[in-house]
Amino acid sequence: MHAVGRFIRWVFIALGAVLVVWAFADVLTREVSRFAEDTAGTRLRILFWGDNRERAIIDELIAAYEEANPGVEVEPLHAADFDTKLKTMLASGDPPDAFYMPAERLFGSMSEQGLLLDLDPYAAAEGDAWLDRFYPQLIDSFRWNEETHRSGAGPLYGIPKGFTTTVCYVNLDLFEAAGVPVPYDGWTWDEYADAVAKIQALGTVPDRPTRPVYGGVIQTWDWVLMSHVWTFGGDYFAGDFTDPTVDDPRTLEALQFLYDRRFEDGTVYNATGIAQAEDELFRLGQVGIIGAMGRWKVPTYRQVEFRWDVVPTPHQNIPETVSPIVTVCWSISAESEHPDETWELLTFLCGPRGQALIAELGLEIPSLRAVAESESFHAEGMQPANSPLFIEMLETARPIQWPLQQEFTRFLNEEMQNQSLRLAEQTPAQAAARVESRWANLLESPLKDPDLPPMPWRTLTISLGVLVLIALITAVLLARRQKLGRIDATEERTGWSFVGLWVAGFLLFTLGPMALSLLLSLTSWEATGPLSAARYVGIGNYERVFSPDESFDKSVRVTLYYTLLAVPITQILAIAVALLMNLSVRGIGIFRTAYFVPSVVSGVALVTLWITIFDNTRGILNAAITWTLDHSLNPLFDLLNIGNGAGETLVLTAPDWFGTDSRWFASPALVIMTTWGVGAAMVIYLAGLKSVPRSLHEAACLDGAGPLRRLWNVTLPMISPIIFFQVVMAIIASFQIFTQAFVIRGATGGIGNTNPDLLFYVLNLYDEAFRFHNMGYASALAWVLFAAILALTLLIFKGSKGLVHYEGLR
Amino acid sequence: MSDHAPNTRAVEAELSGRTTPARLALRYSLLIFGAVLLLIPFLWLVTGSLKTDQEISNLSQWFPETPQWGNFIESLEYMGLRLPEWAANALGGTPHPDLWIPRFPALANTIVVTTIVLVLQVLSSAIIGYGFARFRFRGRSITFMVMLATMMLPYQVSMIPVFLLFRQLGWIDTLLPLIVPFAFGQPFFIFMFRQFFMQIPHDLHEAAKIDGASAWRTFWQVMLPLTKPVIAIVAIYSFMFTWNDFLAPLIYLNSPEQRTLAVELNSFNGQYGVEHRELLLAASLITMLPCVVIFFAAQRYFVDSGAASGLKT
Repeated sequence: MHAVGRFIRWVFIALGAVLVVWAFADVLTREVSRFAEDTAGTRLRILFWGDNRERAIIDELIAAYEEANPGVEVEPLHAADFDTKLKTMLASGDPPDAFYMPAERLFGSMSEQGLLLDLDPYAAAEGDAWLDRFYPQLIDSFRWNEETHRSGAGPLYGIPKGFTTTVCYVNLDLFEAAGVPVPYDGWTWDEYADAVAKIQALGTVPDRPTRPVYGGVIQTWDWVLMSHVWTFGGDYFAGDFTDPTVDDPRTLEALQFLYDRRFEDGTVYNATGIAQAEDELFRLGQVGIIGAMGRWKVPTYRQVEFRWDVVPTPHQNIPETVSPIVTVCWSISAESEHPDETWELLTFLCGPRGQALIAELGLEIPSLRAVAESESFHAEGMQPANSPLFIEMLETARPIQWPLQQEFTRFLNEEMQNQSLRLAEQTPAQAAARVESRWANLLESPLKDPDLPPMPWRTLTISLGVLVLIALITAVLLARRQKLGRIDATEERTGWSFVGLWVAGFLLFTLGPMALSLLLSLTSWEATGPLSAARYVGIGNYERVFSPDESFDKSVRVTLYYTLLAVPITQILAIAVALLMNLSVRGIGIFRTAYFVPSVVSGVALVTLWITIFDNTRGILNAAITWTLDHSLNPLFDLLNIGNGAGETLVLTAPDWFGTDSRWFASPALVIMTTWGVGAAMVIYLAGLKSVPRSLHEAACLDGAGPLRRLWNVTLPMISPIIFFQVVMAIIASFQIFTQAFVIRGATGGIGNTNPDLLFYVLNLYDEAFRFHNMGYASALAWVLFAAILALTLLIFKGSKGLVHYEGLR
Repeated sequence: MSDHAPNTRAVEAELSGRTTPARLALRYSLLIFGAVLLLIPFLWLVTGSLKTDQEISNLSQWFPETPQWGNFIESLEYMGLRLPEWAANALGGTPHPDLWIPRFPALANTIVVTTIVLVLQVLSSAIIGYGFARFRFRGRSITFMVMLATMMLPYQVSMIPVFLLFRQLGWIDTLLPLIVPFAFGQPFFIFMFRQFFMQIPHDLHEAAKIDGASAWRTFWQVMLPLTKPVIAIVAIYSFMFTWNDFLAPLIYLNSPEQRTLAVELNSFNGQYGVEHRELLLAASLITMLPCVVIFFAAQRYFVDSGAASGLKT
């Protein structure tokens, strides 16, 4: 047995060694060849997003382009986290030559700041008819008017690569079963309400009694909801962006319609927490109508078993329905050193060949008319039969326009989409009033004043440097005045020689960036332009932190709640598991690995996993909770006749973690996620337990101490330095919890959703920095958190003096 | 310190694993209960990686009808694996006739970065942690606090400043930003090393000193071997952090051939969500496998009671 184990170990070591050698050889040869490579040719860098199929398309086009243009080399940069990547590149003054730009966000503020190249001269050089080959509505979407802060007219800043309008997808089988005519020629929202009621009345999918039917699905991402308002003849803004019309009667009618369908008749499906993706429900044949939605679902829906088609979105109060234009373009950086070559590349990427590939992918509609209207895109017999509708919708379609201050969408998401339309905690009218007042408050903020002075970088940097220098010199002088014995001096030198490595690293890599972020907290800076664009606001950002602000207050409360739960629970569990793992029983090695394995799951996989587990109706967690309750407490309540206060027997149900119960259950859910990775913390405690001298246990045992007493009087004091370390680290980490919350928030309704119960401090900070472009305010938030954690840590260090036992302390 | 306690048979029995069948049963049932609880979600990951696209949408179906072993090769090819003809014939997948050994730049990069960082980080953190634990010098506690404080500023606001710094150094699109900063210790590990070093009885240090060993020699020859368990843990942690780090490679690397596994894994997340969950799960399972192997291999070092023997003075 032993020999086999050793053999396996050697095989693993040999395998590992081979892999390491191979990896180093591979990387070294590449780096050497890269170094030797002549850089005479033109190098263009383009940044884009998309799945692997889109990457393959771009790679194919680049290969073809490079073949046709020797001397030009194109470097494709693909970023799953596009905004972060683009912003760091822009802020460092090293933007890619060309990049994707979505019309509804980023595009406006980037055009306004002069970061994009005016493409009109280049397009004109191609000939008069060149731009006419594209749909004019799309070209207009990328013309930016600085006066009105809207698109539609002005210089051209992008060439559209594709687009979609929105329509409703209908399940023809359910329509037939419910006896509802298919509204190919358009319909009103009243007819829609009638149709969803009839479909809902079917109960279950014909021949599939386990699958309930939902009349309709209306998604509520910010721009989808806005287009829903348009179809009622309403809008969020009438004139410029200073005076919103969210409380306009037609706007409210649209929102109230949705509210009533969800909460009054229940004919429109409403996922409060994590539930089966709405479009997955459609794919399983359980939804009558889903929409308004874009073209991107067509490739997936082509695989379903029932008959389906697309119809126009309903309308009310206006003669014809309206669709938003969802489009993405290629833009060229104003800083590009090779604008001519980049333009050349863009015409190729957006040319017939690239467009044909996009058409083949099917997620969006090509922006070139010839390709979009070609046979291959609307082939006979290909679903949806009514495919030309997407292009017909372009007639009356409007571009999606938001105020440049993205906070407006935050207010809408928080008040309307979340508190009203998802959780029914306020009516649309109440939500509208709150959106209006929060927006008015924001516009008054002095931090948004365009006349602020530029940031005096030089003066502030120099004064900060002088301050640091003075502090250092004083410290050294004070140290020299104090006389030390010979041994102490030696010990001091040795000590610094060990610690000096860290000091060097700190000075080289950490101090500078920290100081810069401190200076940034004194500015108003959007982080999309260079540092020189920052404006000086003094302590304005800090004033804003300490003035009443709902998002900030909420984020503090949520973070404290999480920390209070997470730190004790995870640490106690980790110690308990470590004690368990310290038992000497057969096969403990296997158990240790089993307990450790969950903590290695990370990234997208972790997210995919937990979304499945926390699913309200089908997740294993709630299934287990429901089963347990139904076999324990609920029968007991029934037996003892315990009421719920309304005259009925109390029945406990599983929580809607991130939905209606999220106020108390969202943080615990994240604690559960964290506890799943208990293995990582357990390992450290285990090492601590192993280093407790056995002689101490033996002595205690001889004194007649039982296992519990030994745990309390020997084990815990001996591992107290480890407990101390873990608790301090856990507190620092809990205050900064980000990734899990970020990801779960994305899962409960897309990027637009803002579940206030998941708005942790750093999440709020991230939103401010990267969604609302307030890097200065975000930096101030960061430094306030820094001060709070530091104060708490110092307190813990002071308070733990008598509690932590160091064997080797002197 | 204390004399060796006289080992009576009762004490020996109490402290060693020998115990009554009832208690043994209790121990096993506890162990198994916890393991099952933790492994159920993991099981879903494993079976999910073997399903078809249709099957994975159906949450109530736990096992695939026929396991799709091809998912593993397909997902790796998504992430940039190129197989020569002989390997493709053996494993399935697309053959690339111009190759004679497999090409997988993401894996090579990740291995190179992880290996170097692991070695540098363990060594530097041990040295620094020892310095904080063993020597008395003026400025020690304030330096220690400053070191801890560097962890308290959310990285979201220092991300852009750090990027500016590496750009000044000309390190963008090289592996250097992923490696060099870690040669100077990492606060989390330094703190951990300090705590364990402080737990080593002071007499041991004094004994070495009397023998005439220099501080550095004492560290290398006496102290470092004593902290094998901590080294093993820091190695595991360091390996996992570096292996799974997604943000740093995303920001500092541009060229496709410089990408790491974590970045490739993240690109399964498309514009409209994860389209091929089964491939993502397959890729994740393969990617996390080295972490599990490393743990399994390293655990003998931190559970080996021999390592603690030096403490039994």
